[in-house]
Amino acid sequence: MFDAYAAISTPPGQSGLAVIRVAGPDAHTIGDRVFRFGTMNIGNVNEINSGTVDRAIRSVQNLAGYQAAFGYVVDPDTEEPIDEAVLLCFRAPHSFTGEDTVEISVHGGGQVRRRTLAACLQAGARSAEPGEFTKNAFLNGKLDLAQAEAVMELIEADTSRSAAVALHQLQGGLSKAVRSILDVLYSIMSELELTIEYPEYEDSELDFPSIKRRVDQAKSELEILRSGYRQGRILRHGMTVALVGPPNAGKSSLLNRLSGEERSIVTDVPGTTRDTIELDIELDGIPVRLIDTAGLRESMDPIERLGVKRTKDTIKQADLIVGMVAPETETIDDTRLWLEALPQDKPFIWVANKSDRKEFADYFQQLKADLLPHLHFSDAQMICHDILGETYPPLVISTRKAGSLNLLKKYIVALYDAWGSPSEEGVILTSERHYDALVKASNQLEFIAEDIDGLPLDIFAQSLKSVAEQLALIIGDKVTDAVIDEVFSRFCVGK
Amino acid sequence: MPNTTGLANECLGGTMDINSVSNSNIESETERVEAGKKMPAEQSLSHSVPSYFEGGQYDVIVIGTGHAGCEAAAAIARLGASVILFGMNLDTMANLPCNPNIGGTAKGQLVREIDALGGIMGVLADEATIQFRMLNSSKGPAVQSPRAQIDRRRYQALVKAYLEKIPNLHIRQEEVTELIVEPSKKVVEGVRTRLNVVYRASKVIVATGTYLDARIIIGETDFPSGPDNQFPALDLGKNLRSHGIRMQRFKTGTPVRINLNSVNTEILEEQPGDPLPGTFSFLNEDDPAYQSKPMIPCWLSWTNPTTHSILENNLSRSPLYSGDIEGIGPRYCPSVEDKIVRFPNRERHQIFIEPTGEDTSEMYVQGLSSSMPVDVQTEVLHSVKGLENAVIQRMGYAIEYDCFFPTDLSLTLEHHDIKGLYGAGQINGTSGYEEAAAQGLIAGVNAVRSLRGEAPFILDRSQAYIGVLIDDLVTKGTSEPYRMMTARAEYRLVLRQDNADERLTEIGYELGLVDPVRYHRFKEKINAQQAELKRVRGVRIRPTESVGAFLIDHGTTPLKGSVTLAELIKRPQLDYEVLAPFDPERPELSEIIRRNVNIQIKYEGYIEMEADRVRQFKKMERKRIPKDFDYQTIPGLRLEAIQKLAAIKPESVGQASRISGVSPADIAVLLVGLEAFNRRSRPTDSLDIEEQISNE
Repeated sequence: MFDAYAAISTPPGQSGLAVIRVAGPDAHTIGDRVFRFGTMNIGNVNEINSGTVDRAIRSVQNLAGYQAAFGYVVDPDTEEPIDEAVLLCFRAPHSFTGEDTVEISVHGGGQVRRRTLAACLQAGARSAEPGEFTKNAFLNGKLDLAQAEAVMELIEADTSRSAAVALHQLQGGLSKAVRSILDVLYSIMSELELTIEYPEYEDSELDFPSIKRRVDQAKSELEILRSGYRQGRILRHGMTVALVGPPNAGKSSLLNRLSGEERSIVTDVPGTTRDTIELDIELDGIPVRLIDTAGLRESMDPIERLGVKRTKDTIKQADLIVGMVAPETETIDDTRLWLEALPQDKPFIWVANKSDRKEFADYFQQLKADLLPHLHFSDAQMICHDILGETYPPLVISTRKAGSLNLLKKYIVALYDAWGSPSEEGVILTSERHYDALVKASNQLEFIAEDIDGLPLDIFAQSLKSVAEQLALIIGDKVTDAVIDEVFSRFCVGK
Repeated sequence: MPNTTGLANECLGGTMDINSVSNSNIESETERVEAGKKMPAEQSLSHSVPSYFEGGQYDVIVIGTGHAGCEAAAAIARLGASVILFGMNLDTMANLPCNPNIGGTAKGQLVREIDALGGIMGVLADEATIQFRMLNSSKGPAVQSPRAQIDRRRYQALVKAYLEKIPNLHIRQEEVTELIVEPSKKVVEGVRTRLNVVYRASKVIVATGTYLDARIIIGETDFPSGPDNQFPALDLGKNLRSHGIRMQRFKTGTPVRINLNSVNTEILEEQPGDPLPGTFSFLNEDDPAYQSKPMIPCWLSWTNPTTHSILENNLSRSPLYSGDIEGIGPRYCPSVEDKIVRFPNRERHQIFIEPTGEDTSEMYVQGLSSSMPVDVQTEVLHSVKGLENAVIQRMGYAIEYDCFFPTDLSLTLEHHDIKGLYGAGQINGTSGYEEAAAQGLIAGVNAVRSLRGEAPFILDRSQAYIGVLIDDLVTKGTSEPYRMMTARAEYRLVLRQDNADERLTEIGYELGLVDPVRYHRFKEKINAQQAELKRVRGVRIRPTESVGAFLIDHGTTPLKGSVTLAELIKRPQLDYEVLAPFDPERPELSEIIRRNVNIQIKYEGYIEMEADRVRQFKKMERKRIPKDFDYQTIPGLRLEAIQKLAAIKPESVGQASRISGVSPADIAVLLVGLEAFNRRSRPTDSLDIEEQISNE
């Protein structure tokens, strides 16, 4: 466990840069786990830049206060690069909060900043409490007395806001789901405590196979709950839609049409969109984040290859993929290649653009005859089509004609409705802190399940307790009291 | 007139009410005495004798000679202060009126801690042990607990003799009836006894156990009585209330005692102790004398459907269900009728028949605790296998008594409202001899330190079970008699019975509780242990053929390269002992040291993780809250939080965070409020709270 907390410090919304701040005694260690010095490593491009830096000796720990470093953020587990970044190092007490701090500046895309924060959390930081940076800044003497009350108001305001959210969640399925997992854990823990506290009673023999079964049960329930985080994210941040397709298929035009303004540079030169471009729009009151990608065309141009890499990342993060084809952009075989490469578990809407062109009719015929019979979309991919039960792909549109996008919009809204409203078992998880607690509990439980046969009883009991305590944070339960109550209500022991 | 010493220093004559005994009211007292006519009616009988005698001045007065009182008195005297210890009957000092054993799960840890701090319970229990078991010996070191069956008469005699030898410690058989409190400042000044003697001290420890307003209930019969048919303390409770002290009513119970000669042990299962008995006290560790003492067995039996029918048919006669008992009983100590009602589907309940001493055949029947009428208890007893003809020597009973709300106490066990008044033991809402003794020790030490103007002595939750016990009591309170359980300790992996001396003896020595002889022996042991740990971490084992064969033989994998001995010990299939053949340099060490080395190596990773959590915990414990801090001055703090904080008076932000009804957001606001307060008090600098403390 590291002692550091992290949050995105720049306000939400479209901006050129975003800053992720990590503070606390282990902030520099977290920095080293997510930040690599030097140029981002992208396949062959690496060779261009090879030999420029010796990465081994570069470390955030070695940076002086106020020193900046250029490099890139990586996923701490897979080393997969996320984005180029500048890291600024602060040494206690010379920082905003007075603690060791790193500030990582990344490009402003919502996706990049969220992934960077996620990387920091994965590396062992916890997400900051409401007002925590300001509070600690004050406690460490970085703000003057006059600001004290403002700080308290800030905490109160943040707290009441998150309390409102929490209340909302507790009335929903979250508390029920966490409660049900905790009940399983409490039942196991009470049996362990019984054999520890009353070793001489006949009840206190452990039924180990049953305990193992219940650990596995809790583990899988926890995993289901954890996956519900996506829904919550969609509710909060809106749905992320990635536009994918060959250069010049009209992705930028679609984006512009949907947003009603000229955002990206639309030309007839293939590959103009060199970077992922994001746009937050509202469709029928639903927040939707559209991400225009550089396309998936393999290229020798290093810059364009960087774009392709980004496209792949975008697809991974997106909630919905809109794949766009158009006449005279690529061969049918090329289309088939990238369509088949799309993730099978992600909702997909296929659109054929430029229906206003005279060559479209032939092209469409060709798609239906030569391509469709060979394609196999999964149920997950076809969820939008299933919900509406309408036209089999592709949808025919023209970004030049008003009204032609109505069906596409309807599909996106349908998907949001399907996900955004919780089903009977579905639980929506909107708080990152709740997610944080769930991830920690779920990881710990996984370790326990793996080692269960070799764990001495005292360690087993203590490890389960720490899992339960993570979960109890979410619903405000007191683990020790709950377990002791359970011991005495279930078992008849005592002199 | 004030501060007279010696017994029976006659007063000016006449009578006066209790407040007039107060030193600070001496002048008005004299006037009243001369006026003579203001004599209260109830004292009119004594008009010809002096109203009170001066019993003398002491540093500390301890009321009650149970485990809390005895431990408190011993600690006070050991610190060099003078103490008088009052008991209503000195033949029942350190009595074990319920179960005839000391230790057990979590309680054994408490005894080890008391011992490590130089207390008396462990070392004297070792002398009176008639059976010893290390509970949970196969379940991991963090949950192992020593427990001993105790010869109760011998234990009582040992404690009495031990205390009698301590200079500055006076034992006195006299019933304390009144606490003398200076009324305006609410400061303790002494006590007054049934014999009309006034003893003066600025510190009084109330350790009255279950005696205050005590009542025994057996079936339809009830009568005022302390445990074991001792006199109850009927006046002191009333007097404490008159000083504005809140009291709650608890209940507990005990089973019948029977004559072993009437028990058919031939058809019962024998439960012997460990073949090699251990000890509680560090001083007796590895002493072969304790391992060869003859041990007395316990016997096992079970209730059966007949037992259950008898109880069910007579439930209407149980005072528990007829409403005659108002006190709240402990869930972990249910009476047998309670078990039948709460677990109707169970076919049998376990019964342990335990010896109470070497010179007596009287047996304690654990599992048959009951407040049923005599005839029902008898019938129930005789329905149990092996007890068909058992002869009862003492009936089981329920007992009700008054006790404090422990949330009215601070972590030093001093009362919030009355300065100089301390509570220790069952009066604080606990149950158990060990819990009582632990509190006695802490209250005693703090009374002396407060007298001398020294900093309070507080063990936190990461240092000792004693710390968990007291923090739970004064922070959360309790709605039933509180029993220590290992599950209550967050840092169970570091709070082990095997390392109690490592955790606490150094602290005890610095306080003056641990004598130099013990301290020297402790240092020797620790040094040897540390040296061996270091050696084991350095010794390298090479992947030879014999090592490989040995490892495969023990169900583990052969070595690829050389490793340290410590790394091999960590493998689940191996330990320190079995690896001896490959460790020719191994020095001659005591069994205890070898065991500790093994535990510390095997659990290294887990202990390190827990140590990390402890460091986190300590941060908040170090953030102190000023005494009598006005929470109203913090804008934004919720009303409920203000009320709770003002009532419990936490001493640190950490303690505040454990109060029920105080949320993490309240704590964040509190931290900011405290910092603002600190800066207002010293506007020029901006040190944080922590630094400020270290500067103090």
